[in-house]
Formats: sequence, structure tokens, C-alpha cells
Amino acid sequence: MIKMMKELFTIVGFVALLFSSSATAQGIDRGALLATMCVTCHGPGGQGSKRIPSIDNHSDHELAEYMHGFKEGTERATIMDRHASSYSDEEINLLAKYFYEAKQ
Amino acid sequence: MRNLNRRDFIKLVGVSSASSMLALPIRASATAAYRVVIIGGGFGGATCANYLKHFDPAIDVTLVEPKKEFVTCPFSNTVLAGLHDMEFITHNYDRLRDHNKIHVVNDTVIDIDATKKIVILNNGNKLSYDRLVISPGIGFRWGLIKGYDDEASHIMPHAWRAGEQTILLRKQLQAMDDGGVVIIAPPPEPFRAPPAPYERASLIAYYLKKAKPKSKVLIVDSNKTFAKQSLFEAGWKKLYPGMIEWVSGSDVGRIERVDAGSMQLFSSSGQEFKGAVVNLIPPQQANTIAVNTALTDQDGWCPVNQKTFESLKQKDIHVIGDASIVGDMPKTGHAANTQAKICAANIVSDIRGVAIPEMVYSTSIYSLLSKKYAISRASVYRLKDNKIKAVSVKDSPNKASKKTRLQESKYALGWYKSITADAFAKEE
Repeated sequence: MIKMMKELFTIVGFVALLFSSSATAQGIDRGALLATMCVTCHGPGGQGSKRIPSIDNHSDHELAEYMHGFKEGTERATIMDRHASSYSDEEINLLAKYFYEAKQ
Repeated sequence: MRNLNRRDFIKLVGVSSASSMLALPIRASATAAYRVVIIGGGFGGATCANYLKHFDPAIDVTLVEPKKEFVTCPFSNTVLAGLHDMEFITHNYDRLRDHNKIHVVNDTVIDIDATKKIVILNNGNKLSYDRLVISPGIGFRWGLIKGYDDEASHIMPHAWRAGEQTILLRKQLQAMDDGGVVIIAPPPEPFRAPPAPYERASLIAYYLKKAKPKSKVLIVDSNKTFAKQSLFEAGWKKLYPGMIEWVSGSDVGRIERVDAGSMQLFSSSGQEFKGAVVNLIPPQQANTIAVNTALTDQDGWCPVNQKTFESLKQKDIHVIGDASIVGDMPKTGHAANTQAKICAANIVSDIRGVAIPEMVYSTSIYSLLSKKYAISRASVYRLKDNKIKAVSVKDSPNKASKKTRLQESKYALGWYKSITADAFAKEE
């Protein structure tokens, strides 16, 4: 439990740092801003929540592949197909890159 | 886990690390004293406070909320069903205050001076702001239904603000004799949480089926259709055959008068309805503080700039959540949470004098029909011609396996855990 809490603090800290530093240099990063929608369900930093899968433990390529699969209907989904279909390929790639880099 | 060192920091900020490092002191000095006051500690206000600090820890953020704990409307229907207790839907502000360094002031705002940019509290204290965000939630339009006022709501609870009203309705359901009729009367749209009356009907039926199986739920609706209607109706047929009856607004018109003594409702079409338990949800508008501050239009809701959520009535005041008029977005906790993040990003970007990137807004609205059966609506919105427009609104499939409905009930719970962690900085 303590380990989990520590990890959570670190994840929250990472995300906060990334937000604040990216807000500094050239405004808020688009990937970071788009990602604020994902964490509402997928938990702080995308760590997952109960049965909602984590999205912080894939390579950017893997995560993008899932999302493209949901969008195109080749990957089975319960709800993500309905969300992914309205995101552009560029937005999907930005999100995948964001979650991958936030974890590194 | 390891501590964050300089190398990690550079890795985090990536290619722009050098410029970010150089820019940090400038940022800190530019906004050190920038004060944002937020009124209302629900999904909108708490999320906005949290994300302002995420985007820029140097901003001085004060959250004003009269209550020390917030009881969520989402999942309050599970309390009526006996699936969760009140503690499950009650959240405090400790982590926002202690960990995220947000000033939490437990008091009521009695006035706002938009010219002097001051918020006046009930205890006489004044808070100065550079930017004000109001997320006041809903108020009730008591005058519209004759005989229904605050006092009558202790006999016919609305339970549309979670808390004591939720407990009261739960107790009434527990005390009701088997064979009783529970009336749920939703108001005309727009109102908070459009699918929630129908989720409530489902979860009350869930309780009654187990505890008082001869009882019924009657929905006396002032609307002619409702969200996820075919999914709800199919679910009711399957889970609670013959237990839930829906009377359309095309028959009812609207509720004009009540008699709390005889537990009767009288509709504009001349019909009378009598229940053993009556859950009357009154017509709504933006909460009092928004009305008193002249932030509302003739319908009682707050018009805002759809990109920034800045009020169209008062400068430097943003209105988010149920009280605001936000294009195609319904009035839900998830929508308020979404608006709060974009509002925070806009404020931070505005301070910096930089543009905010193009946004995509997503919400997932889950409704539980039983402990193991849920449906959802996934909506994606974009800003088009200065209006937030729904790009897609997609419901769960009409035909789905038991496993899919079960999966969605688990996602609903995961959603609740995540969104409360997101808004109140809770640990999951």
C-alpha cells in the first residue's frame, strides 16, 4: 500500500511537472492538454482504475496501435471505440507520445 | 521510488528542456501573486483548483465552499439502492489543501463586487482576486410548482443535491410497505444529470425487487423523451418486468401543483398521481450566487464564452459546471470536470499571453441499471464557430451480452474512483 502511494505521488508529481514546465516554454503542450480527458477515467497519470485498464505502461507505438485499432474497429472495445472514432490520427499519436514520455 | 533529480527533470521536459529550465524563474516571477478565487467545491470547482495548480503551482488558488465535505450526486442512486453507504460518496478537501497547496475556505459567499474584484464572505472577510471562477451548481425554481417548497421537500424529497435528501429518500423507501408506488417526477430539461432520474428508477427497482417485490416505480415525466431511452427500457424489461412504468410528458404536460399532505401530484394535462413515496425533482436554474451576481440570462442559466468559459455578463469571471450554458454539453459531473480543466488551461495561457492548443472534449456518462448491469454514452465535442458542438454521441449497443453490461458496471465504478481522485486529488 505504501509503495503504491509512493508511486502515485511520483506519477502525480511527474504529470504536474510536465504540465507546468510545458506551460512555461511554449504554452501548454497539446498532448498534455488532450490527456487531461483520458485521466478522468483512466486514473491519475493513466495508471488505471479498478477494471479500467492502465494506459501508462505501453510504448507510444503500442498505445497508438490500440487507439487506431479502436478507431478502425479492428480492436475489440466496450467504450473506447466510441471515443477513439472521433479523434484524428495526429491526436491519437500525440496522446500516445504524451503518456509514454510522462512515464519515462 | 526514486527521487526526481536534474537528469530526470530534463528527460521529462524533453527537447525543450533547456529553454524550460531558463524560463522557470521568469514564469515564477510573472505569476507569483496571481490570485484565482473559485466559488463552489463540486466537480467543477475542485477540479479547476486542482488543475490550476497542476498547470502552474505558482498561482495562488483559493477554493470557497461552505461545506467541509462534498457529497456527490453521481453514485448517490447506489445509496438509495443500498449498494453503497453515504461515506462512499462523501469526499473532503484535505488533499487539495495539504498536498496541492490550495487555500480551502469553508464559508458562504454573500456577495461579489465585480468592479473591485472582491468576494465577500458570510463571516465578513473579503477575498481579492485577479480572476474568479464560479462553479455554483444548481438552484431550484421553487415558485414554479404550487405547493412545493423547501418545507414540502422534507415530505417529497428531491434528492437532487446529494446529502441529507439522499438519506431521507432512502429512509422513506425502507419504511414503505410492500406494494407501494414510488413516484419519480423529473422536471423539464434542462436539468442536472439528464439520465439520472432513469438510473434512479432502475436502482430503486433493484432495491424493491429484493425487499418489497409487490411495489412499483412510476416515472411521471415532464419530458417526451429521455437520454439512452431504448437502452433503459430494454433493461427494465429484462431486469424488472412490470415494475417500472414511464408516463411521457406528452401525456403529463408538466407538474403544476402538489399536495404534500395527501402525497399527490397534479399535472397541467389534468391528471392526478398519488404515491407512497414521491421523489419530486423541481425545475432548476443556476444557483443563487450566480443569479444575485447578474451572471444569468432570462432562463436562469449563465451564458459564457465557449472557449474560455468567461462570463458574457461580467469580465474576469468564469462560470463552469451545471450553472453554465455550454453548447451541446449536458449538465453532468463529468462535463463540469472537463470544463474545469479547459477553464484552468485558458486562465494559465491567458496569464502567459500564449494561445491554448485546439482541444477535444470527451465525456463518458455511465448509468447503472443494477449492480451488474450498466450502459453508457460516450460523447466527443469540439469547438466549432465558437460553440461547443457534439462531434459524436454514441451509446452502448442495444444488443449486448450480459458480460458487456457487467463490464460497463465495473467501468462505472472505475470511472467514479478516477473522477473523484481527479477532482479531489484523492488517492485511489
